[in-house]
Amino acid sequence: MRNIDLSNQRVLVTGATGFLGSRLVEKLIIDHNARVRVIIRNFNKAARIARFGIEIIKGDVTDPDNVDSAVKDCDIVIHCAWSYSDKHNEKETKQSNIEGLKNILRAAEREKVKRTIFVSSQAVYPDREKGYITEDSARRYTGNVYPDTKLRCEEIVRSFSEKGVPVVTVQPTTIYGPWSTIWTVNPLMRLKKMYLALDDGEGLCNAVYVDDVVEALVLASVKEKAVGETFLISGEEPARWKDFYGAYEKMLGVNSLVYKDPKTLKAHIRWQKFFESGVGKLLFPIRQVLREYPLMVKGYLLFKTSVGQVEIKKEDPRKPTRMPNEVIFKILQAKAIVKIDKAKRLLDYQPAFDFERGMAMTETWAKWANLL
Amino acid sequence: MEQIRLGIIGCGAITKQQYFPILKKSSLFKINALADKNIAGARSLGEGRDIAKITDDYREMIGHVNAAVIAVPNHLHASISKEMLSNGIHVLVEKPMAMTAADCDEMIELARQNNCILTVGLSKRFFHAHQFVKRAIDEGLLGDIKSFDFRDGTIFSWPAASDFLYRKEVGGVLASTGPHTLDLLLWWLGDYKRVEYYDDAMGGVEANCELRITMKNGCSGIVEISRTRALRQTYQITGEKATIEVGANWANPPVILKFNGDEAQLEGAMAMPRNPQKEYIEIMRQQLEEFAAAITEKRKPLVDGHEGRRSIEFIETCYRNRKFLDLPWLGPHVKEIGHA
Repeated sequence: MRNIDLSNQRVLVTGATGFLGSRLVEKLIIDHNARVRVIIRNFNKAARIARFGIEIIKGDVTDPDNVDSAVKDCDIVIHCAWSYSDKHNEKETKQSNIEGLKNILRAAEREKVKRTIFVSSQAVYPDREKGYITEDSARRYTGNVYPDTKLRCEEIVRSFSEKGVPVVTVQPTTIYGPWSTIWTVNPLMRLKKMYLALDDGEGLCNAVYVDDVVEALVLASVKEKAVGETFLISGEEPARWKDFYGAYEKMLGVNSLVYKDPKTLKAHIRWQKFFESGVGKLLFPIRQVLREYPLMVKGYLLFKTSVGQVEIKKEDPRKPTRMPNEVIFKILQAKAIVKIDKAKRLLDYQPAFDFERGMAMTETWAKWANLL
Repeated sequence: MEQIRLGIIGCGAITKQQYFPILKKSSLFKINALADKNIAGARSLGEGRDIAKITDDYREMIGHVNAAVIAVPNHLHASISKEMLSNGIHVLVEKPMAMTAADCDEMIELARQNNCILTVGLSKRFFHAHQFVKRAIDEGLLGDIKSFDFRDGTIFSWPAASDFLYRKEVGGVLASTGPHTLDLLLWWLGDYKRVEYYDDAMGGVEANCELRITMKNGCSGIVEISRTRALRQTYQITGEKATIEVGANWANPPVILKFNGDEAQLEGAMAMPRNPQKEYIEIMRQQLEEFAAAITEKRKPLVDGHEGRRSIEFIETCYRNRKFLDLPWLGPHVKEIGHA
């Protein structure tokens, strides 16, 4: 996608030390010749993007003054920054993500930035059991902080769009590839030392290689028809979860995926929730003991042998088993296919990496990154 | 014995975490001056202590100190060292000693002319484990050295207060971590003969580099340094009789010694009850004690200017001959941009 020349454009990337933002910076410079500016909180994480001659502004998107100076004189703003919360700071994190976006949009409006891109997520569409997901599918609040915050942010984007601010919302699916913590590094590290429990693994993972998402962000920054629109961005075809994780298993040369009856997984989730509840917390020490043992496998023998088939016979008892939590279980069970027709039509988006090619490149990288 | 009057130039992370905590309790040194461009940082460090001079201009400490620790951004090491040495002040300069061998030469000459001690903060030379490797090689325990494999990489987490580590004049991971790694290589195995150098910088500073080296003694090997990847973090040296491997980064790293053809190996941390080196700060303390001893005894320090210069000259050669690392996931257009 080298035909998009951004040599006269100053592009601000927020979240540039994250895995998507870093790759965006790389490609903006290598493939699109853009003048890149970044606003970063933490210099520790900037080693990857400091390889380029970019303009680094120290600051936080939640600080309006920092944002004003970062947005000044920019042609394009791509807002990848996102704070992830843990259980203790959900409210603050939600607020800071919303404040950050508002600061960006207000500054973009004032500075008459030609295009602002907000990176949202497929997670705003909660119904994913079957059928297709398109930009017209239902979006609604679910009570989970991550998708709810993304959805709230999308509403804010829309309100600025209605005022005539040229904004685009991009909703990537499961982004894997070099440096992806959630969908590449963590799975590799886990599969190396523990079993990963799946249901039957037949659920669908709408996976997209990181470079394809970056190209979509670039297209969204320049295509006229993109203004005011929302685009789902995924690979050409989904992969089954057993193939997605299976690709990592193969890279590592391990046999770490175990398939369990959904009833067993659900029972485990109930226990997990119980341990997180008021009464359950009192039993925290017991849970820790169980954790010390090959995670919940032994817990099952003690508590839940009656529920489902526990396939521990062929597992090495010294290696722990990681069971899916409620959110992951739902994702594993999903069968819905994300459609990228709108992005193809209006952005000329065409994924360059099918699953095989994306995973082959990921393997080359993972070997270099000392993860295999 | 009279304490050595000392000034610390640069009150960043290493001074706060290492030099200051050691020196404020030292019987060998008396902190007489602190200097930092960020005067507030220097003041808060020195608060409540009897320190004659706290200043944002290091020149003001001349006349108040006999010795200085220089812990400023790398590209300022040479100029400040030279100024101190010219005024007869003994210098412990953080690594890298300078950015060029020519600067190293000037520093060495100024130290000689002014009868000053010049020592470089190559703290890894003080590790018992690294000294053991030196001895094992020198005593012929490994036999003739055939090859080496150094992998030094951690995901960067230094609490940098500013972007100075990413400035082009400071250099990238080769210039910042390289002095340690390459100093050990040259100390253990002698001078190098040839080097092929690859890194991943494209207009900024490299985060990863790879050196393919042939040494004068005929052995060859690879050195890989990274600030974005968790590499093995050990140095491995294979001789005709045995292989030795030692940890690169943590205090008192384990040593593995294995004779060729044997399955069994000797593995463990160095034991030295009087001086256990459990924490990095203990190594830094020894480095300062050595500085003090060299001043008092008017002798050559363990790591003098000539020793400090070796890795700097090596790094200069690398940068002069840099090629781009092969990183296929960056896409096909990288080569056209190269180092920009």
